[in-house]
Amino acid sequence: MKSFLIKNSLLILILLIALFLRFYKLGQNPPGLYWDEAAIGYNAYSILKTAKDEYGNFLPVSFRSFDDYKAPFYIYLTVPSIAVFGLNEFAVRFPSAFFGVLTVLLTYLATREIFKNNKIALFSSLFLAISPWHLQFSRAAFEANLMLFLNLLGFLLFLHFGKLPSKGYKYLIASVISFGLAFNAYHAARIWVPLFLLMITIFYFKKLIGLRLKLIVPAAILILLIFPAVSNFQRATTRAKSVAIFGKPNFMQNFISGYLAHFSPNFLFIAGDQIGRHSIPGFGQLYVFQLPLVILGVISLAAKRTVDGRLLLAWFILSAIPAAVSTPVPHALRSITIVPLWSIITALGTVHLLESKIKNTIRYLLIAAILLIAFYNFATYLHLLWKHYPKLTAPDWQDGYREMTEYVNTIKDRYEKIAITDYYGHPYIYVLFYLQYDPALYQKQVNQNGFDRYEFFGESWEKKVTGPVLVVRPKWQIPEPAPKYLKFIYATNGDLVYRISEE
Amino acid sequence: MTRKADTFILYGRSMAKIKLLIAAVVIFLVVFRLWQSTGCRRFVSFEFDPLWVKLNVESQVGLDRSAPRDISRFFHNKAATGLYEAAKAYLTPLEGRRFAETVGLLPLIAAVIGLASIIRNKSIIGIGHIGLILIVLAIVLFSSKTSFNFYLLALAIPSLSIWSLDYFAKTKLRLLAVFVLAILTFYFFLFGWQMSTICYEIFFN
Repeated sequence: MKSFLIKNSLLILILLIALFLRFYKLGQNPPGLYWDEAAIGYNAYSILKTAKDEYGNFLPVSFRSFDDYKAPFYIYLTVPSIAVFGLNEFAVRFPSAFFGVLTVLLTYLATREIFKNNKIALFSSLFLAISPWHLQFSRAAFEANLMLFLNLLGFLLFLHFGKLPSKGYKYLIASVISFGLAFNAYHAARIWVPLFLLMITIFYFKKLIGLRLKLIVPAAILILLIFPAVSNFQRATTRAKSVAIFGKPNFMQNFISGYLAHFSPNFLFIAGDQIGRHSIPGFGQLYVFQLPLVILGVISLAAKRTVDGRLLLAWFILSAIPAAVSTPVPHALRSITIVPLWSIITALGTVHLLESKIKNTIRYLLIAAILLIAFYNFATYLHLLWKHYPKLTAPDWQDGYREMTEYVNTIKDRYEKIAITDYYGHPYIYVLFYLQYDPALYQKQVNQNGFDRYEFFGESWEKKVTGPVLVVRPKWQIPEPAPKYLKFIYATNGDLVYRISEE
Repeated sequence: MTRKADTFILYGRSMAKIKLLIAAVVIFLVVFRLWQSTGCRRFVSFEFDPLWVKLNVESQVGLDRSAPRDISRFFHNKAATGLYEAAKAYLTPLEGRRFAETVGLLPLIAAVIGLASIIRNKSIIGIGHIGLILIVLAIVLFSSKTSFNFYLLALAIPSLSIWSLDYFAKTKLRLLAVFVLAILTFYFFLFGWQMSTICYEIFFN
């Protein structure tokens, strides 16, 4: 045990860094709970309590939620987390952060398997551990992060099979199960997983064909795992249809420019994804110090003549496709499968530089300069993440819902009705989530416009009962004459979000 | 790796003719794009404005009200922000959609392959060529003549494709790829008269 710890001390240190960066104040930053996170949490809670989703469907293979029919796997994985930690932000984000840490480990293992070089593997896992792109999606309940973990796990197991096709059959089975689960983890996986499977089939065609009849079992497992989503195709593609560019004018132009946008230096190193939930405003998806290392790494990767080296290159080229067939672009979330590759490429570049035959003085100067920029970059990232991000992106995370529902909960019994604005989107799910409303009770009265004593209104609200009503309005709705205001709710950035009044 | 059956067994004049043909296709596409842009009355500007640095520092420091001033200034100062804003402006012409719209798919891919072959062959002239393009990008940053900037970029970046001629002329498959890409690029240009990422206001005769 002691020798194992000493031998793997660097890897353990990297994993501890990954763990800290992903779990520290997980429930508080990002500043609020995005409505998809709230829906994931409440549906998992509903499964835990009743084995049914919010609509009363028994263990569904696709969660209707906001009629976007969410992929099921993340929700089911959130059930034990909620059982242990309760229904709160931390519990909902826990699976993403947990599998985020494991992805760092898998990156180490996969890189070591491919390059047979511990240095490259350690650098790859370190760069992923501190990657702004990966941290962003590990610190919130993004199903895509789980899909990335399963995809990488499937890939690693497949590599084991590839090395020993005759003895590695069990790895093939495990790999197929992992890919099948990835298919059920995230919408974009329905494009990515078949594409990825096609790619590895082409690369390992001879080895796979050599299995002959033995191929039937993994094929059957794969079909079994993807069948629920395929049989439910109409519903499973509801979300995809709303964002896809298929069948829309100028498809080819939009696809090509959308694809290229994911490799634009501005997106990668300077400005990042423009959606506040996907990146820190004003910070790239990668660190600036990675730029020279990435250039060196791409050259180094292109020079690898091994099958696995070429496989990585093909993966790198394909990974922007699921994002390029949809809008908006560039989209950091839908192209998440490229994230470990950027880390691997940076690691290749780093080792290339460390082992290059240029003059020692020049090499040391270069390394010192890159290290200096790296420390400054990383410190700036942490500063922006902890000091700026909660203020800049509070509206993106629906910050204010928690404080509002908690306040409403303390005085709700005094009112005949509680009317809440739907201006900030899907208020019903926040009421269910933060009040931990009994799922069995809600399943009997499923209604996103109102349930129990709660009603949700749009542009304006009209009193329809005689008793006192608690009204929660958005900041811009100021009725005349002025009602009796009980409380104003502010977001982390100090902006007024709600005016709560008694009428 | 190229398979024997795919490889042209062409030397001297025949090889030169194929390279010339590929170059002609690329030049035709670039010229066609330049001709299309003659209707543009107001090109997009990439000019760097130092005022952005001041504004950026002020807005970032404003978000750090609770943090000690020294810490805030360590992260948000004119040097770091200046570099950030300059890099942002410098890389803006290379943004995916704009890049594709300016030079088109075939010249773009050929330029990328050209870049790779310069690096692989460690060609001194090629590195000088890259250096020139980096200088062109800097000129664009400080020039207020937007049409001149566009023509400079539209000519400079595809010029790298000259280094890809050997690569494309090597196999039948690659040559076929050139023509498929050329058709796609032409199609892309033909339906992309608006050039929204290049031109603010376009006038058609």
